[in-house]
Amino acid sequence: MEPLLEVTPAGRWVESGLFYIALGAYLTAGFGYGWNLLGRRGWGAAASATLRGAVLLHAGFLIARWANLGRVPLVGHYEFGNFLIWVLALTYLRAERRWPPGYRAVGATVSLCLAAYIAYVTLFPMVSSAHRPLPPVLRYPLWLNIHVITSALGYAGFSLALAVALLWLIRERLAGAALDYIPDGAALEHYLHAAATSGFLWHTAMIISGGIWADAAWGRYWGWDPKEMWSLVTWAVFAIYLHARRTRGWRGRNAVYLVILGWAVMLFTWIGVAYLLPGIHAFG
Amino acid sequence: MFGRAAPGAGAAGGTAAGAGGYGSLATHVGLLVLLAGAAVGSATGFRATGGGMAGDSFAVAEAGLTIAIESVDLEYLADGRLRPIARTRIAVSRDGQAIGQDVVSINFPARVDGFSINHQTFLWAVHLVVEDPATGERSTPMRLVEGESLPLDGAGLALYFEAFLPDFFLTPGGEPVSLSYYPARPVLVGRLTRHGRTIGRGLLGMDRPETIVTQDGERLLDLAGFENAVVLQVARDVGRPYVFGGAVLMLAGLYLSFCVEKGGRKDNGAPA
Repeated sequence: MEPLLEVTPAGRWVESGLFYIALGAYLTAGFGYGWNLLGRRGWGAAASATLRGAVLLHAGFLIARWANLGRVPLVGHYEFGNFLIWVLALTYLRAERRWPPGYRAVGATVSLCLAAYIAYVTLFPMVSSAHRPLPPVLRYPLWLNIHVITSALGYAGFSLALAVALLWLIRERLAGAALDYIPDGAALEHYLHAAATSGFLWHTAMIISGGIWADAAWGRYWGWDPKEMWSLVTWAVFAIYLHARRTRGWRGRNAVYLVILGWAVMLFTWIGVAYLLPGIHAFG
Repeated sequence: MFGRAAPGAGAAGGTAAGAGGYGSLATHVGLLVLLAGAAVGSATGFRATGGGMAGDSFAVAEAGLTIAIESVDLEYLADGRLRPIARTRIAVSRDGQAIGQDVVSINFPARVDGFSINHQTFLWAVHLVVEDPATGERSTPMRLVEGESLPLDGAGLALYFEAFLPDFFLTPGGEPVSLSYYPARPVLVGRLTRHGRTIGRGLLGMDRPETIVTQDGERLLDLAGFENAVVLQVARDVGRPYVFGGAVLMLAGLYLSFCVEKGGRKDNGAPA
């Protein structure tokens, strides 16, 4: 019999209310970024403001769930998926603030990625939003939080890299059209590298923190568990990309395809492994 | 967080010289140290398991250690509906000399004299008493751990300890289950076997003896008590500090490579 935590109706109402309002705001921002990509440049700033609002509302949801659970909501696909969506939006907004205004074109493809993750956590029947207590092995807040937060930051970096890669492909496809509002290929390539680098750093930190925690929990820092293996494969694909760029000067299509492959492997590591290759990382 | 070199810069967020260059060196040296540590640990280390109940001890031949289990306590979670946390107090000795004492539980291993002692799992153990109703003679309590068998006569009849249900409940379909880990209604689920083949399955509740017909006549089987057994892992891995040290060096190198520009300044550049 699955143990569930008792949550007050008010707590549940606040949590789900903030969740659905935030999702609505994410989708609205996505439409705005879409219009911006189609040349309605005035929509870009409105989309950006809406996305900031969505991130704030989603932060409210995460805090409400935290209060309902009595722990940081980072366990299981529903909680991790929500946290990843939030971190990805935040990572994108941070990049948007850093780079020139043309970067807002990336917002459209980031929104596609966000929509896909939102669809996964809301529509996929095997993703449960139930409030569950932590099993014994996860009752180590220090390493649980470090490991999962670095994991989400890594996935967010790779997802942002995917978004830039998709925009690069769109730009290439539409070559010749009046696309002055979309960053040129070299700038996109630079953004791609920046996002992949960020993901790679955090993903490396995630693997290392997982090793330290596994050593305490299971008495070995590496166990060839499917999740560990596929995390390593994800790491390897992005390591190849970074090396190929640095030593072989890979730019353009090859680099874009390699990043898309890396993201696909990352997605399998996150979702595919849980259903197809369950192991000791099967926490729900 | 992001690499900040201008588009077209050769290095990843930096250049081959300066901090970026040192970063690349640190990353690859760190990776080599990590791999070397893993190889040395794998070649020279060992991993052994042992366990028992409170009062038991087991020897770890590879290390010349004896581990005495002084107590096993369960911390029940979510009213017993989650698997409990087992805390095992151990005393470690070598050649009769005590070298350490600690409490081991999941996530919190004991580190004694270079050895790591980790909790692996806990099991239920029962105390069974066999009584001859004809003479009233009772055996001393025999301890049986989940998965073990107790021979009942000389003709191959045995009781196989299939499962322990701490909070017994019979489903409408007749299947025995446990509602929680809290031992409110402890019941043993056992199988009677003859020469390894199952001939019957039954339940044995606390202080509710069951009669079993053996080759030597009727016997009363009594569940007199229960306790917990733990399985511990004892390991030594001399490469472990190098693995973690190499990993940290690698991470620092990646940070230098990607986030710090030539000359050690953080790069704030943006695409032209």
